[in-house]
Amino acid sequence: MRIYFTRLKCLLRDKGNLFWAIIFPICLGTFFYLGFGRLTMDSMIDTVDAYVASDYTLDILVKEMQEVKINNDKPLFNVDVSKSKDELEQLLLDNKIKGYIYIENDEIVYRVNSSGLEQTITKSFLDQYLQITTLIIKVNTTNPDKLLDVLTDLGNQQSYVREILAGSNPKANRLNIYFYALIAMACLYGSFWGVGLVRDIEADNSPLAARVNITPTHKFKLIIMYFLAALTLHFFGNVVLVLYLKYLLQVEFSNNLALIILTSFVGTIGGITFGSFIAVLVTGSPEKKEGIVNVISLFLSFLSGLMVLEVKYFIDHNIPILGYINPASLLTDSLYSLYYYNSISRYFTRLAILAVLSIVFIIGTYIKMRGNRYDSV
Amino acid sequence: MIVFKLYWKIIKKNAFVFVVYLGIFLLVTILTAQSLTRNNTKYEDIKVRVALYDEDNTSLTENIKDYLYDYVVFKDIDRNKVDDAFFYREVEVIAIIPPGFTDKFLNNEEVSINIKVLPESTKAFTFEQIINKYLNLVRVYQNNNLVSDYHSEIKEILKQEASVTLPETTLENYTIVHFFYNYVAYVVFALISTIMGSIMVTLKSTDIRRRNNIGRLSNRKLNLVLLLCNTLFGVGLLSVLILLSFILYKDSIFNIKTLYIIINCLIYTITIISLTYFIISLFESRQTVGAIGNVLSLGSAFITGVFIPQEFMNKGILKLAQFFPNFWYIKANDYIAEVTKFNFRVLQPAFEAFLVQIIMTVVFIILSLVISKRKQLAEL
Amino acid sequence: MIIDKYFYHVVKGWVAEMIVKVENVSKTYKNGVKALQNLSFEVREGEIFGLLGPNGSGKTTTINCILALLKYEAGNIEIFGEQMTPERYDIKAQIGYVPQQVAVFNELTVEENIDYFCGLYVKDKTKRKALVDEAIDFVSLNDYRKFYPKKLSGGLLRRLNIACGIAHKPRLIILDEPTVAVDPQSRNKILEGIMKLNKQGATIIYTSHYMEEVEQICSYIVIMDKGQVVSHGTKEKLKAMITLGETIEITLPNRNEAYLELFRKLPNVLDCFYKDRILVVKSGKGQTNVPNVLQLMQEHNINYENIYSSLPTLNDVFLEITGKELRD
Repeated sequence: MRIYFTRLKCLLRDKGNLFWAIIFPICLGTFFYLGFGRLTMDSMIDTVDAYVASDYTLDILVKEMQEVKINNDKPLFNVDVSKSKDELEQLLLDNKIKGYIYIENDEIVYRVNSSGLEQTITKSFLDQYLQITTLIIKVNTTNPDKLLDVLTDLGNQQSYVREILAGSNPKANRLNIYFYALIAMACLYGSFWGVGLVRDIEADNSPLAARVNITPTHKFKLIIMYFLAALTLHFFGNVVLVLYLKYLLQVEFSNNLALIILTSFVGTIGGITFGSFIAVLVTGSPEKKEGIVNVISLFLSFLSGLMVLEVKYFIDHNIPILGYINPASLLTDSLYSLYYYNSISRYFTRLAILAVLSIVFIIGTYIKMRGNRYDSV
Repeated sequence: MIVFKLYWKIIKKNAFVFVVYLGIFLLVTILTAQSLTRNNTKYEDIKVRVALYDEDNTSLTENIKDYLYDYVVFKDIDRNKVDDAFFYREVEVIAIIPPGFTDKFLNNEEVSINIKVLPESTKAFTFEQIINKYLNLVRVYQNNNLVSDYHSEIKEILKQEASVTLPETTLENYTIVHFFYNYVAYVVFALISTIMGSIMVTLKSTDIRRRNNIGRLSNRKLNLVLLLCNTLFGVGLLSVLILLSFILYKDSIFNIKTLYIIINCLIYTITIISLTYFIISLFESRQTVGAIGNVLSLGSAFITGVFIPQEFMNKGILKLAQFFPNFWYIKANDYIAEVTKFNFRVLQPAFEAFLVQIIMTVVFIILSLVISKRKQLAEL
Repeated sequence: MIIDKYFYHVVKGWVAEMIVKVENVSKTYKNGVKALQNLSFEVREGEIFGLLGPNGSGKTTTINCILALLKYEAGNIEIFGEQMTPERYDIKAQIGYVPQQVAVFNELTVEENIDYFCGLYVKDKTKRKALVDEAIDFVSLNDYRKFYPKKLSGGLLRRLNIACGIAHKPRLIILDEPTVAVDPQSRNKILEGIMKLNKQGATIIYTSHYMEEVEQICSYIVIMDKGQVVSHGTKEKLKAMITLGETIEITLPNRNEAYLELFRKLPNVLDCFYKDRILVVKSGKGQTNVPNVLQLMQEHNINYENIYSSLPTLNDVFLEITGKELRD
């Protein structure tokens, strides 16, 4: 027990450790938040520059474009009708404008040089314009008296679609799923502690470790105590991260805070044991071990879809077994299933596998370290 | 000469770690590229995959399905298994029409079809639009008693769309190369800040110890030689990545755009080297430098448009992102990828981005020189 | 005769138990360097056992093998009569180790460090407190109890290092070059302390390449070179083994090469050479060396400033056996 507390004291007094445990995830979380957190469909849309060729009659279209607004405030289009088609074509080829509108064969044509958000928005609007124009023409021919009512009705666009999410939190933005990947990565970075654990127990890594080896403390007890100290610290850091995300950044991702904290807990165990396991397998200086563990953690996080979500699916389709032994994947999967699935059985299976893996890791660590004699110290 | 040897020795000493780093990042790049090949969602109207469950079963819902048929791909999946299919992305949208939908709809009450959508999919938005367009028109037709068989008429109306044309010189299929090089922004940043960072930190500490030996070289000369070493390292790294891109994309890569992108890459690499210099001048510990390298490379990748295209990002965030060289690198890349003509006037925005990176390089170098000078003076 | 020998062995068996037995141990490092070759020796209870040898002779390697930290390919090591392996925690509990490199927790104070290490051996709180206080006293670190290792000078750090290794009053204490880079005052304190510990009942194994220290405190000495035992015995026995009996150093006002020939002709002179202005005469064993020298100088009217005679040192022993100096 004393070993636990002394170790905790030691870890706490080392500033570098605190950085990895707490500051790194928070920094990354903040970056995430900046990148994803405020990303909603609405935020993506801003005023678009639209160019209409002046030498064609498109007055009605232009009027409509000038009137449509985003969110009752900002106009959707900034319409420019000052240039002729030839001028606009030149500008397009010079890449100064993204696209322009003119008429060919009595049809409205939208000419672009690439695909992108602005072009999609503009095209979408044009399609709508055409459709409504068609409707109005039809109504005018068959029931002209109803035209006014129809127009009023058209103005009352409603939404008949609603997004549902597992759990009852209506504010949860589905893009918050990226934060799950972040939590998974934060857990996995507990591997850093695992390396420290090995460094301080493997005699050929430091004189202090050698000295510790001379004492009559059973190695397994040592490993467990050091592990528990690291667990305390890192789990604390993770909880801080989760709370920071939830309360400070107001990220609505927790359908079930308790489950997320539980995941964090098992995840931290997984991360630390994973780190120590790799550290015993890699021979060399502590710096080398750290470097390797660091990059492997990054790699595993990557495979679980942290940076590019598609990679996760690519792996799932092609090498599914990886998803079951990669601690990062297990973590992200268990969290994701809170979103995707209605029942939480999948959540628990993933977590259980992770727990088993952790036990394997730590036993492996002990076995490798047991009765170790070294070539040189 | 002695500096070269020292540099090389340090690389050799850490060879294992460096190789693993490089190997993993290359693997990462390849995997990313592969995963995304199947995912070019921009203009190509790949239809969204939907699993629809009709719990109402009326003629209205039949009409809805009939209409949707032209715009989505229906996947017939067992209700019990649909969560799995959703998880593994075999369907992108799960839609459930609740019982009583039609009645409420016809009574103009508030009602909705419940959907569940893949998080990263922009198609969710389109799906909403698709359905809402139809239903809104149905409502208009109903309320105003326009035509009794409105279904085919509405379908026809909604088929209208603007024609889109592109100039012949527009090349497709470059997207994948474009994205590869965008991703390279992260890889280069991460590798240089960590590997080169650790080499430089070691050098700094050995330099102090071997001050006598290297003392023959003036400080300025020393720095110059180091800069050269680092540039060689950076360029070497870059060549590996460029070679990789040529191997992976031999079909689409031979293009003048690639030339400009490579130039962009070179400028960017040098900017990152100078940024690393700056970081090193502030911190001595290897661990700290490594940690900062990690955070900055990954974090900045998120906000500068490496993982999410710049056009989708919050404008305010992008303003902040401008402080990072990757932002300008990506901006230039995005621009170059779009362009069809290659003369100075057209490429001007790209050149401006180049210039900003170069200015950043100079600023970082000056800052690092100032800081290390101050530190030296403080030591005396 | 036979009865005597038998009696001797029986008495020996009663009197002194064999604490450490190293038998034919060989170790080769991965890079091919033969660290230990067929090394054998014994450490008896109550001894201050000295392991003397130049840098790189294998002293630390030997210690690490004894402590079951290192692998070795051949041979056998027993402590307290039992095979030593990394899992013999019962044996480890009776050993105290002071490593060559300072191995303390930078994040703990002096007091916390000693308490922690002692606590790994002694569970009883009150007993431990007393032991810790005694240890701090022993190394005279009372004024530095709350200091962190970073703030301590080299000598103080070494003292802390020692305290951590002996606080629990073990039966066997192993110190590996504890006085490297230590100021003379601390060094003396350390040597005194070790002798005190020995008086209190501990068996000590002490390695060093400083022969003065080994000469000062060790009761039995093994001299190592290149991983092998070169010679062993008490210091008297060792010195008796060699031919050198006396070293006479004469400080002369001026250096004259001709004198060398003169002195060399003296009886019992083994060697004669200049060390700057000092004429060094190495003679064999005997009582008449100095008188002979004095007589010679008087005969030839050689004026001298100083004359100094010293007995052989362990360095001389080493030199004679291996042809090298102990200290490089």
